[in-house]
Amino acid sequence: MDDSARRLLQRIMRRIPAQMLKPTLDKWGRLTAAQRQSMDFTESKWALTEKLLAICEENEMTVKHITELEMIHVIENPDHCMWYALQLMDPEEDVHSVELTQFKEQFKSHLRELIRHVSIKIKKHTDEAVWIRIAWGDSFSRPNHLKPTYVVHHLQTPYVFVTSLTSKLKPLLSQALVLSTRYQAIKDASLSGRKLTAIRDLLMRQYQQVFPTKYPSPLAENDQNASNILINKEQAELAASRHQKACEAFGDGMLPQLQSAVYKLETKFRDHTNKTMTEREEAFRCVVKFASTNLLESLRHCASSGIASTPGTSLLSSIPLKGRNYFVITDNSPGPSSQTRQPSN
Amino acid sequence: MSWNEEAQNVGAPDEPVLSTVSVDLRWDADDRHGRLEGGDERQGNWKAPHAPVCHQELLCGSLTPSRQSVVESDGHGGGQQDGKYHIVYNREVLLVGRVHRDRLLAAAGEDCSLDNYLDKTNNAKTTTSAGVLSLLSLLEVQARSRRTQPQQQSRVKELKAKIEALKVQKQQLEAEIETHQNLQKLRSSLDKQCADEEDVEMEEVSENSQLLRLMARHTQLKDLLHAHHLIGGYDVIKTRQGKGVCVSLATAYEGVYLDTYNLEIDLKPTVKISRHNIPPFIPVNGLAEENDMQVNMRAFLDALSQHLNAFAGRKQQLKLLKEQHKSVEVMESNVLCSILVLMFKVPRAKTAVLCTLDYTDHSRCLPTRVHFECEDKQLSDSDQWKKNHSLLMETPVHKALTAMKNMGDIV
Repeated sequence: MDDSARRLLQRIMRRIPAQMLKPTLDKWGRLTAAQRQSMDFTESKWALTEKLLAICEENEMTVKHITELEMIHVIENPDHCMWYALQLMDPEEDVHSVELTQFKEQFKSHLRELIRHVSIKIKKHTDEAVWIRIAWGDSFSRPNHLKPTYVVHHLQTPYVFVTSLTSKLKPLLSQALVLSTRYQAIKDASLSGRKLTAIRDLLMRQYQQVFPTKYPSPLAENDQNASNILINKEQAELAASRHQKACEAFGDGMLPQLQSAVYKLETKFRDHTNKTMTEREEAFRCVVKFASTNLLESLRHCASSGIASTPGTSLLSSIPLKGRNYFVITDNSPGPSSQTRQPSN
Repeated sequence: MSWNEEAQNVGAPDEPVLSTVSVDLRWDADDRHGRLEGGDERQGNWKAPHAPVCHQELLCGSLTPSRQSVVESDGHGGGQQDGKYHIVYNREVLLVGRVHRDRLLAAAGEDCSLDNYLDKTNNAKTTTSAGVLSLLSLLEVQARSRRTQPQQQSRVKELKAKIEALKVQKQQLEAEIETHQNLQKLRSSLDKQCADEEDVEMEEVSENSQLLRLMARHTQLKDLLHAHHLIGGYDVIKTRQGKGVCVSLATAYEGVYLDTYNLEIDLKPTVKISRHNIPPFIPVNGLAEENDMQVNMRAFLDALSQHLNAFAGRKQQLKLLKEQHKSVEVMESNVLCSILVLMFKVPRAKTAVLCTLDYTDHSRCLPTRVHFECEDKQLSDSDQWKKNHSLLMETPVHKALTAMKNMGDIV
């Protein structure tokens, strides 16, 4: 086992939390029963790492096997890095007949054409998601497994999620994706976040959306311990209509856990009391960032509790409607416009 | 000043205003308590027992009490300020009690002589109690004399006004009933016409009858839409004050209702889809263009409903297959459920057959192509398996597999 494999294994062991170690190794399935028995999971991580290194030496494992372990861990816990969403545009005729094996072959061949030394691993998860792990090298050096890029794509949908991709390598990946999925272009979807499940659910609309209906659901049971029954009677209808409008704008039930929304303003300064600033010709640049543990939930609560008036501003309700959390607002367009954004490493 | 209008039981309404009131203006310099019914030092508990009584009395007396909650202007030093609580008539002032308030000023109107009472200072005390009392008894006498007749007069007027209002309402309701009856007649004739497919005869061209026709057609369409919704088709409701509609498409398979999908469409300024919860692999925009949603909304909705129902059907078939046939392994499927690869085990030959089902027509629940792959070439060419081929092409997959199991072709 060479040095790079050893370093990779050490890095992976550092990343995997202690309680996840045993299940991950079991899922990996490369250790024999005897070897599994010999691992004592009550020891310290450092000791376990040493033990595992020894076992891997014994089994003569290569980097390829160890990357499997890393991939299993990342698929189980995708929330430790920033994910960026990309959208494929202009489908061709046969986009719906792309199936897994075809996609795999095409992607690998296209990417290998573009860059010679690259290590690709593709795996299909149970929820129909295709996970791709790419370790990049260049014409002179071998692939660097310490900084892999992960790509998640659901076939037959136009969305791709990537993490850890430098701007230099982005065009290569984009081209390979476009050619293998039978689309014509790819663009940045202006959506990013730490939780992959959240941004995926937001884009693919997998949360409970509320639409205006003829038969709205009945009011929930009143809280009998409420402070004042008379206040409740007066406010019940108003509260219900506010809740309905808030749910129509943001959704019902559990919402995807977005953590931030960024609005980049390039509008002219407007304030009658401040002449000097208003007289400036150029736009007043500022960036407004909303951050929260669960941003959509807090926005919905603002609207349903009456803190913000309903219907809310379209800037905030655009987040779930358009499935983005990066907006550039200029004077010419009345609503948020789209703009490309480079995902930084 | 807040007029506390809780009903107080101060005696019969036609009692003289002042008799029950202990308008005892004996206030002492020291303790400043007026002995008043319900009088209480604490502001919040003070009740105005006479306010409703007086109101009634005043109505009887055809006097309009000009109740004014006004703020007195003359400043007062700190500390407790006694305020007087007045209902000011055009001509009479009735003192109803004393209360601790910050400021009070009653517009005396023409009664300047009673300005004395408005002083907050001890001047009030200096005005002769006798003068006040005599005035109050005068008022009492006046009120008593005016009590009976005015009460009746105003009550009569009130009732007459109510009668007028009810008559107007009755006329409105009669007009509505008549319109409704006409509408029913028109509706039944419209329905008959639709059934017999006759031409519409224009009997009268008057505006009224045209309007009635439109209304009848409107109700007919609404009923049709409701019936469509009941049988599992789509339902449309108006949103945004008529500027948009929300279409809800229901899907069902084999008599079981599955998911409902919604579309919000803006009608003004242009017809376009504003949001929906249809999964991204159903080409909503493509169907909108194909069927020209601007012109022919119904064709678009029908096509979309067909696609969604087919997708729901395929998804349901896959789910039932997984539940009912655990021995058959699903090798591949996708989110659109347009491809299915199954692995069958043939009992006697101990070989496996790989079956590929392609559903390239996304508006149908049945496959367009079935293909068997087996190591044993003869097996796939046998008559038995040719029958299975046609079976899989024509029946839903879970039912086909049950039939194949019954015939003993697969395990």
